[in-house]
Amino acid sequence: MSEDIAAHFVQFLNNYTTDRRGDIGSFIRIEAIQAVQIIMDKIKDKSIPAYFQDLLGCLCRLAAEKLDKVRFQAWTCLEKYWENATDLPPLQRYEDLVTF
Amino acid sequence: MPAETQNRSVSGILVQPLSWEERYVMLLWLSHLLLAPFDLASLSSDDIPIPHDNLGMLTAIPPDTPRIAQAILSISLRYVVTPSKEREAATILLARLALRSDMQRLGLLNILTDWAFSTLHPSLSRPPPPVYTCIGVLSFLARLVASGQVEDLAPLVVPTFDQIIRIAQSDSAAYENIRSSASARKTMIKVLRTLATLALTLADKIDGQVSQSRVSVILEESIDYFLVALADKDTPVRFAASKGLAIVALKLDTDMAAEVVEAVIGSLDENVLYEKADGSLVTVFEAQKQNIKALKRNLTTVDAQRWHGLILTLAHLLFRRAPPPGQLPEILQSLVSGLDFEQRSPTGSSIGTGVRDASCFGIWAISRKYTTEELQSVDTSTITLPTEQEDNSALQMLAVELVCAACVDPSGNIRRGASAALQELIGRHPNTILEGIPLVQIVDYHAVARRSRAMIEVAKGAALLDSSYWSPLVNSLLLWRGVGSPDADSRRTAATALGVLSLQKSYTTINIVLDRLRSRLSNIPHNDVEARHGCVLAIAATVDAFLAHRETSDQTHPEASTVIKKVLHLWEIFDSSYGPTKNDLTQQSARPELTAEATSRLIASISRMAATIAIDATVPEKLIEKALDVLLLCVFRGEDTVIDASSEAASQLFRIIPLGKQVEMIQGWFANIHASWKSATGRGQISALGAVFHRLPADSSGRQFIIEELFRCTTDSEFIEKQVAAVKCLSTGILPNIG
Repeated sequence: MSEDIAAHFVQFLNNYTTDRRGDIGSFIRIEAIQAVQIIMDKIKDKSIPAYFQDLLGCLCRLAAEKLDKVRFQAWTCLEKYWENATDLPPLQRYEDLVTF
Repeated sequence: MPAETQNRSVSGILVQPLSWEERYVMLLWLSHLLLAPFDLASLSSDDIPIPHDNLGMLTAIPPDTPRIAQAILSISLRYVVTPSKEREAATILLARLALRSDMQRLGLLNILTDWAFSTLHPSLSRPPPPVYTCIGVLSFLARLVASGQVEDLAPLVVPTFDQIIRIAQSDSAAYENIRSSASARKTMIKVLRTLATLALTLADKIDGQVSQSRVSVILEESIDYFLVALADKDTPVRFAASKGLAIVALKLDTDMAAEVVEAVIGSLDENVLYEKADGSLVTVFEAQKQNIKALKRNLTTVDAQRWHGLILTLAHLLFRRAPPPGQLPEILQSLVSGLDFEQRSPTGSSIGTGVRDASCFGIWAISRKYTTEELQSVDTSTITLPTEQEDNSALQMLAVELVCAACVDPSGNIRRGASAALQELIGRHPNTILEGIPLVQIVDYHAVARRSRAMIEVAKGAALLDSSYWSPLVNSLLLWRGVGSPDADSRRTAATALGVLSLQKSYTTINIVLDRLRSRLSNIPHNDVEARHGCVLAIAATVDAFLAHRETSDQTHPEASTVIKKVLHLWEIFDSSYGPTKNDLTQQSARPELTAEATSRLIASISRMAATIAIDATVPEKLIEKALDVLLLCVFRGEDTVIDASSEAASQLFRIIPLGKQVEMIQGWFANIHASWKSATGRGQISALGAVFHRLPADSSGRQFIIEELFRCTTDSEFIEKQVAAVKCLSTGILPNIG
């Protein structure tokens, strides 16, 4: 996993191609979110590499996106990271989220 | 009763015109009031209005008819001929009016029947009446003969019968117009049924208003008409004819009833062919010279609607206990053949469901009305069964057929019907079926509602109860209800079900299932792509089940090595006449996506086995080459199911080919992708690259080339579907496997 590969994935997370069918870049963004999930699993408990900040930034942006299915995937992924993150404020009402 | 326009009632209130529901209820209400035991003359008064000016169509009504009766006559004559639901209530009203004793004293019954006959009889002076008028008049006659007392109706039996038979048989255009309506045909059958039973009752009476010869004529013609109507193209007519035939047969004396049953059974044997092991068809005469029991009954040329009517008749007869126990073997043969019956109309829809439903009804009726002793003493040695069970008592045989129908039939209603019939059978005949109570609990009405659950879980549960259920279930999954189903998802479910069932007794059953599947595959004609799809998927599923089972069981079992040998032999499919050809995988008319999906799954399963099990014999290189060529053709396809299957197959096959071959394949895929740049094809190759990535050594240049190629496929100018496929490969195939 190199900086180069990560840069590609940042591009995928920023793919907003549209055509007459609409926002077809959303398919790519969704697949890229799955990739971020896998990357997060790999770096668990190890030191966080530099490229990860960029990926996280894109993820946060996507978690506020207008398109429902992208927003949901992004938030689910972000939430998993947030549970164990040390540099972010603690999730409030987490018990509610868990039981929901 | 104001009909169309708003006007003032007698009390001066402005009344809205009635809707049809209100008219219907009013007519019904009037018909109830007519049951009053007092003479209508005492209820009538002189200022009752006669709303419609239609009494002129009747021959002179006696002047002393009470006005209320005239008003009711006028109303009912107005509504008996309408095409809507008020007609039903109006016929009840008219019939009750005509049958009242005070009205009969006035001769109203004869006046109304004369009117009915003259309306139906075409005359040259008037144009023929509209069809709904005739339906209304026929309904009135049906209601009349059904509600009247025998003494009152005796003089009407013969004239009514003559009239109806004339409508049924004459060639005139007016009568053909009446016969073209299914409701009219159904009503005629009901009238004939009631007249036949009336004639039989009258024949027993001493003063015989109907002579013996007349009774015979009435019976013969009615029964003939019913037998022909059993094959009618409209279902309500068939329902009415079967019920009519059963009711009339019940009133006949025993040998005549037996003749009717014989006629029905004989009709069920028409056009039945027999199939030899190689698939060729012979007639019943030739089959009888050979061992008829070893041949399968082939029902493709019988008339589905005629069979529906005939089996319904059998079912009604059984429900009334008309056939003597001696005729039960032939009846049982027809019922079990009907349970497995299917034909498709030219447009592709199924027309066999009615026959199967009638068979369930028949089996339900037979379990309900015949005693355990009678049924257990039936000789089943002459019965050919679609599921090839061993010889069993009649009740056990029926139970097994019902279990198979409940698990694998494509129609939900039939599965539930078979489950209900099974429950009746087991409940009425305790201690006759193996594991009866647990069977009923497993093959439950609600459990069989969803087809995938029925095929996989219910079948597994039933087979676990006793070994005599296992083999018939496997056999039924091998035929048209399982891997031979017309739709692809059913075939996939059947394949999974066969995989699950094969594990029942570990390696012994796996061996049996593989043998049966292999022989089935070699018997399917090459152009029957759907059945081959299902069969090959089933073989793959069985191999997968074996591999999963092996990890948790005794690997030194002697039968395990037999299975391994059999699976190795499966590679020979690629070098045989029933393997996939190039045409199968490329020609559009040969449905290549099905062959590609099934073959890919097979390659994945047998490669996985060859790679994980250390064996002395290895797969011959020639066969691996052939499988490789087939796989490369599969990878070219664009359908999602095929892409998933072919990528998995590529990943497994990589484990057993040398490095040089692996490199050759990957470079071939690079070339394909470059050739299909900016076109829609190439997705299969992209997925395949992602799938085989982790099989390459960790630091090899091959891995680097694949990563570069996949990134190249994500550039903006490429088709979005291929970009998505490439990103997906990078996420799931590459990222988890790099540092």
